[in-house]
Amino acid sequence: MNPFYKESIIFFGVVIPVLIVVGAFALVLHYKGELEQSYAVKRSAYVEIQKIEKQRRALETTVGQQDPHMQRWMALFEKPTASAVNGFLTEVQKKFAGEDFQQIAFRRGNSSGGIGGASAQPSIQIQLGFRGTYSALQNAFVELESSMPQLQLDSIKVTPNVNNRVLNADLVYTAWQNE
Amino acid sequence: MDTLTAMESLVHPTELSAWGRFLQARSLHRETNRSKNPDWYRPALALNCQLHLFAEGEGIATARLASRSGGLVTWTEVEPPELDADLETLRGYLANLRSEHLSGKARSLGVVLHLADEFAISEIAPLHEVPDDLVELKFLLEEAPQEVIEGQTHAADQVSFRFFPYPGTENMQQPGAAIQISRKHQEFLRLFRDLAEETKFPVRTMGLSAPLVTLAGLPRIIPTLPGQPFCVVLSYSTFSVLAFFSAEGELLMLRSIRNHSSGVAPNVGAVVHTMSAALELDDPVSLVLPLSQKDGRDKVPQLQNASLLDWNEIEAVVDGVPFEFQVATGEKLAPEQRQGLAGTRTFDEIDTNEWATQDFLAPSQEESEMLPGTVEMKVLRFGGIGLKVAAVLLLLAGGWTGLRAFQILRDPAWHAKREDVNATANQLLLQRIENFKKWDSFLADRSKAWVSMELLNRLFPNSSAVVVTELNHTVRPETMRDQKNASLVKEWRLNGYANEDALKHLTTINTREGINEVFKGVHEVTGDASLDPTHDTRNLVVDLKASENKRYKPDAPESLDSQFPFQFNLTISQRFTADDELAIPTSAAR
Repeated sequence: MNPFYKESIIFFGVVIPVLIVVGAFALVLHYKGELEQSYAVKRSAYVEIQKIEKQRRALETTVGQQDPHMQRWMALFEKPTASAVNGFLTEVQKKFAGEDFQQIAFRRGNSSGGIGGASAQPSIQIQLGFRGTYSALQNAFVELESSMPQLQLDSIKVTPNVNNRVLNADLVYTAWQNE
Repeated sequence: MDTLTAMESLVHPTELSAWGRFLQARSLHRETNRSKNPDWYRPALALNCQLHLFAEGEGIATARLASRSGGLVTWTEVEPPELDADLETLRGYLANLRSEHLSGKARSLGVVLHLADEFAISEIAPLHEVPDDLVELKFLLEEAPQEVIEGQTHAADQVSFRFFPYPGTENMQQPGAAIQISRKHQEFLRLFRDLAEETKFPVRTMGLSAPLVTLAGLPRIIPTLPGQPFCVVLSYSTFSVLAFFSAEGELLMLRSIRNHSSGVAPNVGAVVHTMSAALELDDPVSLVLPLSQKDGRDKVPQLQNASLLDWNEIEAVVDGVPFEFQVATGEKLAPEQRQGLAGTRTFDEIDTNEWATQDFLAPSQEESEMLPGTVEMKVLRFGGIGLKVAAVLLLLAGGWTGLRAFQILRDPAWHAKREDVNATANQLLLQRIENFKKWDSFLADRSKAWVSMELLNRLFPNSSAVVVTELNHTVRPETMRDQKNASLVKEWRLNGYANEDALKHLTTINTREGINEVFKGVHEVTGDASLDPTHDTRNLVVDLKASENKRYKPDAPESLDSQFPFQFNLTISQRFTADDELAIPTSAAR
């Protein structure tokens, strides 16, 4: 060994290159680690985003399918329920002859009660009284309740009329309100 | 202006910075094959190709090229160079030698100069403390001859001293001789080393004392001990060396005698006589060994009763090749082969520690310091290889990382931003769906008057067997605090009169299965989900109370209630739990 060269060769030929290589490797690995870490975070966010977007598309499809129904339902509330019921029954009454179907009472309550009393959804109670044959009453109720699903029956009392030819029917409805 | 030789272009490392020393070493590593070819650092005698030169008189008397292969040495006579040749001449000589005599496979050349033109012995000063280890004395003589040799005045760069031991002597004040040879041929060998640097072809040099090499080879010429003290006269053209041995074959003393200017040896006999007396040797035998390559035997010292030895007659010696050449390139004897003179302590020590092949013209310390050693070269070589491997690995790692970065940057995930996603929109959509569900529930067929009337029909299929005096149907929600949905109870109360058949029918209905069957039938006809009895969240109970009609008068047709023998009270309760789909949402739709 030549002592004049030994230290400089070991230092510049081994130590410095090793330090440079180790430093470069560390730099590359550090950069790669940072990159992978950022990528993992972004990838996770991306998966979440995709999931949310997929959910949104599914929700939009659902909402799209529901929209016609909602529009139809909301149309029910375009006129005040009480007057709508009254007008509807007037029209129904015209279809029947004389004593077969008669509306004998109509009263609109201002507060919630019956089914409507169990919910925070606004509602009113409507009391109706009819006289008519069994079939006329049932047909009128079918038309009324099919056309106005916002009416939920709270009670019905059916008794024979004194002449025993027709029936008396007293009904109380809860009518859901939109506002 | 002369051009600088390769060696002269190098700067002594002490004059360089650490970085400069590294650059100079790296330059040597790159420009020569020092780091790959170990011959750059091996002794000349260890190389496979050796040029042996016999320096005698004013020039080189003879030259031989030795090629060693598989333990055998092949000798080729070559034209000797001039001792005073300049660099240009030697360059041509070496190029010619390589092209004509060295095969392309020759990796190096050892130039061995056998110095047979001078030999002097200096007296070692009586030492106060003689080192036990002769090797230590050897180094002391080489590095500080003035401390060992009495009256030594020569400059170290002009004269080279080497120690030669007398291992068998009992005179501890004179453990050996200090051999003195001038450095006049130092430049000749240095030029060969310069050419080595210039041509990048390893040339190792050595300056051997021809008499010492011959002395080491004496057991070949005198294999058996003469049985009495003897004196061997090694005769060269300008001097003779006298070696005195005891009867046991141990070397006791060396003496050199210069020949007269005419070339004739002086009266050697007187010297032998005097020395024998001084060494108390009783009637020693004189053996004369002519070794000159120039002179004939006429100039051999004349001794009475002396025997003339002819080494050419020895077996295993190549005729015509100087004895020194063959001894220098010969193999060492194995311990079991050491017999006769070879078995003495003297020759065992000479052979073991290679005292006879000491380099008298070794490169100066300054020249040696100029070049990095074999370890440094290996460090540079393997460091360079390691660096290249690391660079490749680094490149691969960088490439891999770059490729990965490219892949990542191309991935849409990398460019996605969380703020791009409108999670609020999903919340709004969910609210709309929730709103829809609530409205769907509010508007569900929960309780319908016409369905209740249809139920009445189904309860009494034979209208002539019964008369219902009252149908009372109520729907009653049951609210509990913090519930999302309110359960509800639907109840039907029917009062009336019936005949026996109708009562039997009512009795059939008055069972779980019976009332379920009725509800199932109404559900199928009306499609009203509230009457579906199959849900686990619904409970259907029926209670029938029947009794005799006290006003029963079958003969009074004007009154309907008196036409039937039984009166009844039928109560049907249907309960929906809060988990039922028709339970009432307690919160409002938006």
